[in-house]
Amino acid sequence: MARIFQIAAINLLALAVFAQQKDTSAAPATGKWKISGVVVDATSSTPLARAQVTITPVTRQNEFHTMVAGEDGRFLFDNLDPGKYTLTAERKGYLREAFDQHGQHSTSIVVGPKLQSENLLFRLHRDASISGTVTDEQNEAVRNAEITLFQQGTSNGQLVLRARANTNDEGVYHFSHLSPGKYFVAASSQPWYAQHPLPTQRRPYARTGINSSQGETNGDGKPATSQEEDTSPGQQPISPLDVAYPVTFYPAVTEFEAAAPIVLSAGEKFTADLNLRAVPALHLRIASSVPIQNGNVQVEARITGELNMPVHSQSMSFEGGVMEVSGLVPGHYFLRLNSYDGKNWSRSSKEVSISGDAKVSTDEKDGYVPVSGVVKLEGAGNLSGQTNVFLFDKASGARFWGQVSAKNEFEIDRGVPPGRYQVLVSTTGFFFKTLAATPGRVTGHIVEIGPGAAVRLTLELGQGMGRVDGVALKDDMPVAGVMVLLVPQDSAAPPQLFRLDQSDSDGTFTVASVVPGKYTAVALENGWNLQWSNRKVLKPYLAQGVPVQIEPNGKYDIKLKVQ
Amino acid sequence: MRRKLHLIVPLRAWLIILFLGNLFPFSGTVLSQEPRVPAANPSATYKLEGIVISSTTGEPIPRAYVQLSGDAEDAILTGADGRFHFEGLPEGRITVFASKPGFFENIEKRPTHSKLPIGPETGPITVTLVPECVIYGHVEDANGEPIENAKVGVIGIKVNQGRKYWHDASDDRTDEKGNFRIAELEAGKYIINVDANSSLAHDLVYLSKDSQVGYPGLVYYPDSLDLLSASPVTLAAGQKVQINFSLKRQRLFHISGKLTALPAGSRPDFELLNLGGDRRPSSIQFSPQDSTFEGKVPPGDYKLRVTASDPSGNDWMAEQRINISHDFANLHLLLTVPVRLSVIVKTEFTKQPGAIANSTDEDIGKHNSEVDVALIALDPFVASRHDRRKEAVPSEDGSDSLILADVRSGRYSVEVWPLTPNAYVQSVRCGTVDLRQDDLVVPPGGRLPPIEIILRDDGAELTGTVRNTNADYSSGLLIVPQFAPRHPQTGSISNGEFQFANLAPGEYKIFAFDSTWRLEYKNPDILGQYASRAASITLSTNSKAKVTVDLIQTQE
Repeated sequence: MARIFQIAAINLLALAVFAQQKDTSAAPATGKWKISGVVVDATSSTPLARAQVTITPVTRQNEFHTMVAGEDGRFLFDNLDPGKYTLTAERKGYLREAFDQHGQHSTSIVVGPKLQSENLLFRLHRDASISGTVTDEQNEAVRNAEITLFQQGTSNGQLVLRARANTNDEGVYHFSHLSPGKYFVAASSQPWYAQHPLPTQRRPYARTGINSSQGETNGDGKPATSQEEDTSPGQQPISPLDVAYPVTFYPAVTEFEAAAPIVLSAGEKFTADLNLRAVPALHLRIASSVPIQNGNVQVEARITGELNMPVHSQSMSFEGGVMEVSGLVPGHYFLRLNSYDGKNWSRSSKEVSISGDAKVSTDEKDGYVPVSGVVKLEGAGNLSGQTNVFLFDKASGARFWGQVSAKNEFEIDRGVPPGRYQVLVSTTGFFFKTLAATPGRVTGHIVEIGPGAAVRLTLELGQGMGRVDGVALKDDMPVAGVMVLLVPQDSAAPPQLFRLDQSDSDGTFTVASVVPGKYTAVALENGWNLQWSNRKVLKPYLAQGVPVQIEPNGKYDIKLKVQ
Repeated sequence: MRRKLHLIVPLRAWLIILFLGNLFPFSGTVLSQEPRVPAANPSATYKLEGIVISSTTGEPIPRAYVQLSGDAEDAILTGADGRFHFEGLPEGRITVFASKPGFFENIEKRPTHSKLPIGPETGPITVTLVPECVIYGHVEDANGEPIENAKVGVIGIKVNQGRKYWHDASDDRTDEKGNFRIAELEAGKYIINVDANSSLAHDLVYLSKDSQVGYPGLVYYPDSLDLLSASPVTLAAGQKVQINFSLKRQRLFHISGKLTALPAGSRPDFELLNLGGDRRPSSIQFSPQDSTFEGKVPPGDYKLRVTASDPSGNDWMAEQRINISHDFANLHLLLTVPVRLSVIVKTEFTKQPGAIANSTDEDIGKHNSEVDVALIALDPFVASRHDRRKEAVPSEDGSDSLILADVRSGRYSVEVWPLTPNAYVQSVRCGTVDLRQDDLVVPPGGRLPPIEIILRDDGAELTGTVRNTNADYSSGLLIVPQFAPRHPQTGSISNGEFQFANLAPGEYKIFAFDSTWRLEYKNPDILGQYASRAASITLSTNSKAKVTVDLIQTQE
């Protein structure tokens, strides 16, 4: 492994020497700066041999250079032009990290006159992993179970889908290269032998004999034979194979609220085995005023108020104009239906809570209020990229969204239940100014949606976001790696208006894309573990912050005292 | 993150039963059993019991799924002793299926008529399932450090319809310990390869301009850079084998050359593909001024493919297989558009003159061809990735000819099936090439005369008897025209007898095999090994002939 890196590094030096010779004659100001340091284990501070270190000029991303640190962990890039460089390192068993990385922020290294860019201590964190074996009710390995890894954010507590994996033939899954943090693991699968017969196939005759002999052959009491007694005419027996697995969280629970978070420290190898238990599968019959002949359905299960998971274990059938979704377990579901009556396709959506076999009709209203709207842009220009409008219910955590079309129109996919919603818009280059709703009461960016009539929203987006440059100082000396935070002075402002940066090696920072308004800027030395979206947590620091009023297209230069 | 590529692999290996001969009255011939199904007693019900066992160990398989279909439908899991038991079955016929993760159905011995009679004489049955094979192992570098995210591929060598070909059986990525594991493999012959260039950390260095070394494009087990010198691994049912790779980085070689026939104004796209069909990162640069290209490539067996499209939407392509073990200068790549072949069918019918010719006037715009024509790609490597088969379609201009569009250069077998009743293929020619004797070679950018097919209807009829047959064997008859040895016809044996009609006049060899499932019977060399046990006959037009042939056992 080392060989190629050494050769690469030697070549790099050769090129650099050549560059220097050329430079000394032409432009003496360039090419004489260095970035050097040592790569160490973040926990033990011992040097790490042969890490691969890369520098990339911040403004020229494709001009990267890579070298391999020595046995003593030392690395050196010399003959550099003045400027800012991003520094990253990777090594087997460690996370690939930028210098002093915190989430999406890191400290860039600035080289030039009177700047310190040598003897850097580059701390790498060992990567953690979660692996485990998924077994079924008879402790046999479950192949091809879908395992989902969620991470809970430290600053806002939000769950983020981090990775998916499938179990192999031994039921084993593995998530590697994880950063320290709080994780949840969920398994979803269906029993490999599951069968979801149609109502007319759920006939008793063929099953009458099974239990009489299975007592002898099947001594271990498996579900295959446990529910065979009731075969009285006219009553549909529960098929022993008509079963499903609920989504199962580590340690072995089917409710997210009961799931145990896995708190990983650097380098930890965590084992999270999961045992799946089949339960009788539920059948959901979907009818309409016109017979349904064909169709498809997307099923999402609600895990928490803010988190849904697609369900793949269901199967579908059509009989007598009724569509049946099978293979579900008790729970709360969102269904998106496309049904065909022999002539036309129609779309509908349903939210259902089921605890047994159930029937729903697409004709019944589910109380959802249709929501659509338009996005109006201030000044010239068009939206670039994908823009989404979100309606967020703080109380339940429920989130609804719609994509903005080329005509700047949007529609919330299945409507929303009546309630109070924070409206958010994700876009680049514009900021959310005002909200209007007909009908509906609006306070700031919050809309109250009543039952009944469809609601139309109008969102006005402004242009001309401001930019704040500055330097973080402690005793008048620049400080690298501190957290710089722009806090809106309006206490009702959503977290999306906060702006964050990390100071570079010369203490400078740049906060771009700031929505015009009044802010307080603070620089916090140990701010990275702070739950900064909580105002109570921030309050003690705001008094020593610097107030900034951002005008449209305004550019500001400030000095911040590091707290 | 392991096995994410397997998301869409169907988990269940559905398995069909095998009726073990002696245990079971159904073991003789199904057809002879039919009359013995007793007269119906509508109220009587019957039971069916049996056991599911592993074909290799004979051990019972607990919790196997057993499904009945046909006149009764039901399903249960076997008990801890592998046994199952259905009662209350009405009289009739059923098919029994069994499955269990980790096992395959026993296809080779599957009776073609698997309708089991249910009645008072139904006895216990035994179902065998074939355990899967697993390949697992480790990939490390020359220093013994594990290589993560290397792609380990398993290429299966299969025989399908008498022809051998390679197919991508499965693959996996190594984890951070360098380990991989590939299950759900059937018994058979496999070539195993590894591509270490896909490891992320490596890509960065490999693509940097300073780089002088890289992992080979693909390394075949145990340690070969080209496919032909790879050692296949033969797996028996249920076998789990460990395969380890130790990979060395090797110096990059310089390749350069010239591209010709590039349409004006179009930009060529260079792709370096390893023989697994994966695009390798490459640093091949093209100079539009003089139409030359150059780049650095790790050693290995590759395809260099250049594609370009012209303003009228034609897709131009040049493709060359290069086994890079030294620097290559002066590569010459010629861009061509795909070949379009027309197929003309002529009939020389003696019995219903004009029947076909007349019908075209009435069915304007309708596909009214007398034949199905398909090209089968013979390069086994091409076959693994591309559509192996290209079917002729009616010409858009409304003429009677058929068109084979978008044919790339290569070697093909031209297969023809007459659709007209009583017709046989008298000849298939492309210019002077007899396509019954030889393969069709399509040169790059070449023009070929139309394929001309002559159909006749004065064929011969052949009936025959197979000696020493057991009625379990219902397929396996081969009739091989000596004037078209690569185009044998297969037929079925019913109660030891067989029958063919509409055979072209000429000399034939007739083989009766216990099974042609794994037999490469379109390869004359393979078939030649059994030639001494074949019957020979020469058929003339409108003749009827009879032969007797011995059964050849290919497996025991």
